[in-house]
Amino acid sequence: MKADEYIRDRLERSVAPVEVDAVFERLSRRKRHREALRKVRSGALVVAVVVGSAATFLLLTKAFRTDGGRPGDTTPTDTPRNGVIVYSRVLPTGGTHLFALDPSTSDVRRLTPEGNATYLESSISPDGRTIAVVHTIPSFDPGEAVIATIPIEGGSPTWLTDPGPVTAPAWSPDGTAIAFARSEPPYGIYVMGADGRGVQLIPGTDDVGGSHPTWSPDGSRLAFDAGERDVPSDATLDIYTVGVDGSGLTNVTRTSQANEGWPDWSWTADRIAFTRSVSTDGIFTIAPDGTDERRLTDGVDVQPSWAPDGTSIVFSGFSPLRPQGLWTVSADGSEVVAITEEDGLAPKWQPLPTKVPSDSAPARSPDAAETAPADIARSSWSPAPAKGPCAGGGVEQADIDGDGVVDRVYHAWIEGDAVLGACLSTGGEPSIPGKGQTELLLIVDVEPDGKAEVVFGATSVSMAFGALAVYEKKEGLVEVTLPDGGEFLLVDGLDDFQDHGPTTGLAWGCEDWDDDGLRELVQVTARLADGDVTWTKRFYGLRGGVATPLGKVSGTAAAPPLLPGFAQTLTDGCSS
Amino acid sequence: MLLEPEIRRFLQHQYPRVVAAVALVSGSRAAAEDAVQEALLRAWERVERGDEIGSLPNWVATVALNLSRSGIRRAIAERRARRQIVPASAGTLAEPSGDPVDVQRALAGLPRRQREVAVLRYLLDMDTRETALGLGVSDGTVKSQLADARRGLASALRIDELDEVSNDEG
Repeated sequence: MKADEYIRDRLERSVAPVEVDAVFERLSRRKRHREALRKVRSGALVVAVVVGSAATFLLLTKAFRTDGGRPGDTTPTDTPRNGVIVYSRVLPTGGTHLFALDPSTSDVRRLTPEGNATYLESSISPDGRTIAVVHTIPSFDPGEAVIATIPIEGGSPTWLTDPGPVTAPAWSPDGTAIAFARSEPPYGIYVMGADGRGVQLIPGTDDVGGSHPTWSPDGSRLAFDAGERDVPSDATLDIYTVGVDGSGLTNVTRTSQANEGWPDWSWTADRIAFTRSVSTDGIFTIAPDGTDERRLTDGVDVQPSWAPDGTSIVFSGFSPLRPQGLWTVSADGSEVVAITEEDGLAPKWQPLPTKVPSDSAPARSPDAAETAPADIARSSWSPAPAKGPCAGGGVEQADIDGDGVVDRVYHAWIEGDAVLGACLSTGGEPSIPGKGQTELLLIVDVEPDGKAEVVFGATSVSMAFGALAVYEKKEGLVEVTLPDGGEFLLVDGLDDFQDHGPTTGLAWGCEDWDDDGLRELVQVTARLADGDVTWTKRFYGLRGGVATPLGKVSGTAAAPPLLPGFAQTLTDGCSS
Repeated sequence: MLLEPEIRRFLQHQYPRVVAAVALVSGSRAAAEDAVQEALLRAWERVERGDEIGSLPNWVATVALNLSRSGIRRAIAERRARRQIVPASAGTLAEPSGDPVDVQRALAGLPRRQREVAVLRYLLDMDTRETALGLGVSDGTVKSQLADARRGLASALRIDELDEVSNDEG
């Protein structure tokens, strides 16, 4: 045998077959991952919220009160313990969703509902119970996003802002405020109350183009990355710090040959972790005064987040030859460990406070709690944004449960089985859900202490033939379970919810049943069979959260009888 | 336009061979798969941006080799791999068993450039010009490196009948 043939023959034996579908799927996933990350790293180093109009943002800022609680006089908290790691993943089935990884067991659970929505750049409240996240849904215009909250256990998002160019939320150490950034020029760092009100620009951060804020442990200062964000490459970004009032703006890194971004201020120590790229890639830490810089990793490692106990940092590994996923590095850089086998973006480590608050409600501003009833009415009449799912809104205010307090009305948008989001209703004409979406009205009773309970839910606009939600009577109340596991109770006294199924629809509205000038609650069920719809309306008097049956009407139609009128009929609220 | 069917065809027919080639050069199959997938991903993205790629297998192979050459993690992995296979030096190898380990040992004893030239030539059937372009060296360098690699491999694999090195691939 000739040498060439022999060598070739031996080399050929090294060729092993491959599972094409598996490799292709992995490639596709990595490609989507990179596209998402490229958006994160481009320009403002932000995600999926690139374009938006200045007018929209002006409306956004007008919608917020300007007298919200301001941080700055906070006190350091006890050293928290490490909880789960929350991160985003681009799913092959669509959307970018939040997951929680328990580092002690490696268990991973999904936090956000099915669908094509995007959840990126999360921040976890200091009590460890609530996630603030940048949320986009398919019907948004390019560049639009909202900052939303999601329970740490998972569930549907609640919007804190209207759609606009917002990104990079960061919860203050005392839980009363959330800093965020604009995702398009003019950039800058903004702070709002944890309830989404009281937006204020931190002076000077717009001059340097700040983004990706992170709070100092005592809440008095923020670090952020800033620079010439519209320059697509080269070394222009540095880490800055600034007082909450805009004082003491300082460039910490001052590099001309490298970009620094994604700062994360330690919970326990006076050190800031960040990503450096261009000349030398890796995760670094530095003292806030710009001294004592230390390299922890070598590679395209991004989005560092300190463990609450300060012993390590989790980051997203993106080196070409490092298996992509989440990694941790010890605080001294001595040990780098892979913690996920799959892609992960923008990890954040959940703090578990050593002192567990007794109040089960999410962290709220004391001011917001005391003024909740007044805020409800005020926010109900705030100017409607120019566009987006919150545009218009058929319901303004209603004392739906008869307790004498005006209840908040939220609109939730649903696509398939997924609850895409919810926002506070504003005045104006009923909004129209996007293609394939359904609108769910949630009426929320907000108590003066800030606790909220959903007391009424109703589909509108479309009948949603198909299982939108499961309705079941339980111990005298009707319990509604949303497909994502969220649930709430309806008022007592309603019945006949058992027929809901693939060819059966259900909706509520208000009609003046007895012609006394007041509107009663009407529940409509409909069944689709052989092209015809058989429907039944049941009318209830409603007071104090209890519905009293008044009567019913049935009929047959060639098309679903429920049209957008149901959103409008709630405009005046139900009373009887 | 690099479409899904073309990528699947590459995965079906050329990918295993390219991975094997990169693994033989770098010493780690896992790292080779990462490198080849990264290279394929870059090719995919380049085509979507409107760039043209002549031969996809050649482009992916050379980019993957370049990728496998850089990075501290890769270097560590390669050192670890070489420690595992090099101690049994080429001259002490037993009779060729046909086991790929023999080839790996033989290749591991060669300088990296010779390994690259050898796998591109023998496993991926790239001619002298293609190999030179891919590795960024001259045609003459490819020929001399290939001749040296061939001698080294023949010696390590105890190939008695050493025929003339053909230089007609160019």
